[in-house]
Amino acid sequence: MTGARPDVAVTGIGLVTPAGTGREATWDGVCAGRPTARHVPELKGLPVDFACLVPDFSPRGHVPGSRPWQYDRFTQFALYAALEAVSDAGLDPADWDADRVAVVFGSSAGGTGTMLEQHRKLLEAGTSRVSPLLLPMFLPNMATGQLTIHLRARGPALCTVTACASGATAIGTALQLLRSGACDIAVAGASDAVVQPFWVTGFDRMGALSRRCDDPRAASRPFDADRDGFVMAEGGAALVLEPASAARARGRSGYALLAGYGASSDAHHPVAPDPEGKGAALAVRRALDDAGARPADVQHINAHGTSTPLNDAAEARLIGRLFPHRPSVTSVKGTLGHLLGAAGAVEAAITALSVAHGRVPPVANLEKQEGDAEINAVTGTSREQPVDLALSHSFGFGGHNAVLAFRSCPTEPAREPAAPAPRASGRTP
Amino acid sequence: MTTDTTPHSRAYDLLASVLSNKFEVPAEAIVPTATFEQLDLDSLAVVELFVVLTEELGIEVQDGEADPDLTLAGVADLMVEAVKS
Repeated sequence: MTGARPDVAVTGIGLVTPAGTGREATWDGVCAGRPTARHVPELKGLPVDFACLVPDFSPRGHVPGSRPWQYDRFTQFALYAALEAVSDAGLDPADWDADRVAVVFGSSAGGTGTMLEQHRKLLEAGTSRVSPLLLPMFLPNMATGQLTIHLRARGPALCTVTACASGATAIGTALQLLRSGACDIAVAGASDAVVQPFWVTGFDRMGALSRRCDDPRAASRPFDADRDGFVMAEGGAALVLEPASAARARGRSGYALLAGYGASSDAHHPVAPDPEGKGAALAVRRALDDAGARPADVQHINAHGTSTPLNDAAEARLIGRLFPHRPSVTSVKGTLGHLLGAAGAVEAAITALSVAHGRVPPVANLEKQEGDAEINAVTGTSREQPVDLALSHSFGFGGHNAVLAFRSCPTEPAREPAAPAPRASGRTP
Repeated sequence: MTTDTTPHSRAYDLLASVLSNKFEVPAEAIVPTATFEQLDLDSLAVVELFVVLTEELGIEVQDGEADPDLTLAGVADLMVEAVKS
């Protein structure tokens, strides 16, 4: 049945992260491996007083034609990322068949910044001070809902909530919608904006966060032996997905093909990863099967790599076991921190860019690995290498595992009659 | 504060400032005869406006009378009434 299933291309990417607003700013930031964690005034006095925030994000300037006061910050990030992705894809919502455009957007928490502020007003000043926009700003599906309005998209619209796998689940679900014929274009991604004392305290009480308050820039250090937890971050990312044939018809090849998606559950513990990684391995195998690939074909892995002792140990063992040929591994969380529900979408975008540019960003702050589970991590500076097949891992509280497989786009067929092409192209269209 | 016009004009100026700064209504659209519909503010936005005005004034401005035909001059009247009561 392989002939019946369309190849799906990533034709547009939008990013807003602690490395900056826009795709280029984020790509440059992660390739430079510059950590973005810093002290946050709103967190002063807490046991963890630092995080990775999006710098200089002005919704007024960055979300054209909108009224940002109607949106929680997580929706503002979603709007920015989606509009950038659609523009990058060369698409105009005024022209597309709106009934055939899907939006699948994830978030771990929705607009809880709004919820907490309005709860404070309710307690301190009473019901008449509570905003009527509380629910339209808070509900986790509202980024999706606002996107359908701004993008004029009347196809299936879903919000995925699988904690830190939300973004990858959204993109994988969008792939399935496209293959099923439910839509012709999908805008998929995720956003989160929960760097607030309430959330920081919650994660810290679990022991999940780094407490390296004296040196925040060194705090997020995925796979490093001295890691002590993750660093909270905020932002969003969006991909435009469409059948590769439709993209080619518009003269676009895309950054990469989204070739496979694998999902599974640990069924082990609410928040701790299964140390044997059975669920994660199942998601990897499913993604590879879906892509028609073998483990030995994988040249690069964009790991979940949170910088927590438990995750990174389990993930390094998983990678070592499934991929003895030692593909290159990165985790951009050393640079960006952990964007929670948005992380999987950001990392999918970075993986697609690695495939497109043949370049893998380094793991910031990785100086010394644990001896018993050494992986082929990219450290120091970015590494240039061909990436014809790459995986992006995402694992979320609740035991959610979501793995995406990206392939390089086939070499474009010549548009004009030309001299015979050189034979050593290395890729088959 | 001894004439009728001063509280009204003060209320109107505050209203215009809130509409411009928080609600991002273009300055040229803010005229005394403008209605919420003309300013493209839906019913939720209108309730939100009254919440903000209540916070700005420190006293409750009732939104129950905020019908679609209410003008900005009419809102300024409601603000003045709220301050008096």
